[in-house]
Amino acid sequence: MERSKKRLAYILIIPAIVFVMAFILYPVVDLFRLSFTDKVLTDPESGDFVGWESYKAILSDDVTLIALKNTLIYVAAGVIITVVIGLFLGQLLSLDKPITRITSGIILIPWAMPPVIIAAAWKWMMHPQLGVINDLLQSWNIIERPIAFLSTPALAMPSLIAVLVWRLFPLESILISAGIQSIPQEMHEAAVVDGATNRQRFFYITIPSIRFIILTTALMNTLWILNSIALVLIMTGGGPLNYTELLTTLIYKTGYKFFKFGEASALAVLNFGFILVLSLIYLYIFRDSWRKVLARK
Amino acid sequence: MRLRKRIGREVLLYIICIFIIIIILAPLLWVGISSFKSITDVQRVPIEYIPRNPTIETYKFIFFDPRFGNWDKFLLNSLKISVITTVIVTAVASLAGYAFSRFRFKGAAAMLILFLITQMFPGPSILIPIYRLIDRLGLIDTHTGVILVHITLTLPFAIWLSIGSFENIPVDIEEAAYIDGCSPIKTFFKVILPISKIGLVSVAMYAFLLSWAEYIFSLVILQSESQRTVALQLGSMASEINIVWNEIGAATMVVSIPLLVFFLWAQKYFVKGMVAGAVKE
Repeated sequence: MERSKKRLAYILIIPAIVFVMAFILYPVVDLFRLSFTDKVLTDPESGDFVGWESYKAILSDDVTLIALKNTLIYVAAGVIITVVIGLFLGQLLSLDKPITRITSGIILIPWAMPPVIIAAAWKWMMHPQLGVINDLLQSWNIIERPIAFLSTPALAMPSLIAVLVWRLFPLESILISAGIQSIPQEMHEAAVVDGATNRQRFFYITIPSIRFIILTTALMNTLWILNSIALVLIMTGGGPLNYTELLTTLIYKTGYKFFKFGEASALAVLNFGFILVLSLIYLYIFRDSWRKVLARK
Repeated sequence: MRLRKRIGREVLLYIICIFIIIIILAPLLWVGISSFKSITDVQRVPIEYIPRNPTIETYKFIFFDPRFGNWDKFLLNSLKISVITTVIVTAVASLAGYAFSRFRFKGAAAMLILFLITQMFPGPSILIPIYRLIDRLGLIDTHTGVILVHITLTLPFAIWLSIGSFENIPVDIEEAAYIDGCSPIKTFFKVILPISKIGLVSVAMYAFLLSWAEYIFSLVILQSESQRTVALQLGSMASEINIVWNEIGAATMVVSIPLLVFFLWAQKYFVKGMVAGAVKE
């Protein structure tokens, strides 16, 4: 029985392992190899080993530095604003009222919508002439002239961050509200008896109780942003000029607009490096839960 | 005095919640309303918030007029890719998840960590090597190529989801089946799979939503227009210089309304799992 179970286990796992080996591990190895070549998509003869040339090329290009800076701003602003809104809304949604139940019921819609649709809809709403946002702002006399949100250098990145936050804040709020609901009511009662103010209870009871949720969602959101491209690619395509260029959009453009696979791979290795470091932090934070699964093996 | 303060708070809560609901629904409302306008009305300024001449001509165009895209074709392509991806991912992930949650075997720890790490980078970082691999397999411009990529993108996390759903089933049930003379394989198919149905719904839903929405890999793999998925077609149309907004409007409604109805119905299974994962420390 034990032996047949063990054999069964391997049979059950083989399909998954084959997929991951062939379509993730092999491509990752190929990515590193490619980044040391001068491979060009359109030239089958290319692909000679050139050492660090691709890395030198991308690091001496100003656009790479702009993309790095923009990625940092996009990630940091997106994650921080999401947490702040999540803390505020999470508190409200943790109250058990009809209106909060309705809100919780539909709030996850942005999370289920394909990013492509989110990008198309917001690009339309932000349109200078045909968009609803400019139309409303003008009819309320807040602005005089239409604003080209996505093609004005100073506004393009903030507009993209707004859409990103719209996609991220619902799940954050739901998870934080679940965390707040799981705090024992006695803790708050005891604090009230001891004369704690609302603010003190927020900072000394609520925040410490849900710090794990804040940390893990911040990490998950960062990884999601570093792995996503559709929102920015469709709304601005990295423009105007390079004001919203991210590492991800630059990887795509270098590879498929300029066909420089070698340099695109070097950029991808950079992005991959960030993701790997963050994943290891994530693994470390979650060590208890995966060790628990492993412990029984 | 205290009563007035409490009522004031209640009103504030309602105002904030209604504001949030409007923000959440605004894009859908906007796109929905605009999809019932004709091509001239969509471009009319000032904007008509209640269409004066509501029409379903755009919906007719996108399905029956060859000058617009062939949305019936795109929908079928998407459905085919997402359904096949979902079936294969759910099958492969539930087999592996069961093995991990029940059996002791050599290498289990290493493999689990492998899945844990690989779930972290299924994005643009590996776009180029994946494209090369699909190219070498001769699968550029085929749905098979896209399906293989979608399976890969969803599988690692799907395995973790399915481990979670099997962990909730007490081992006693299998012990009883073994005592009755059931083989491990028979126990899995006849006893365990039927009880873990709800857990597997969340695996399937995750795979379906991801495959339905995936854009960038389809963009580089699928080259001829007849092969496009709805996400790819929408993305390409919205990236053009001259955008045909009413076509985007009608297509968005067709693509997202069934998805959202399905999601709002099924989210209780899904959210419960995620909340449980995030809250327990």
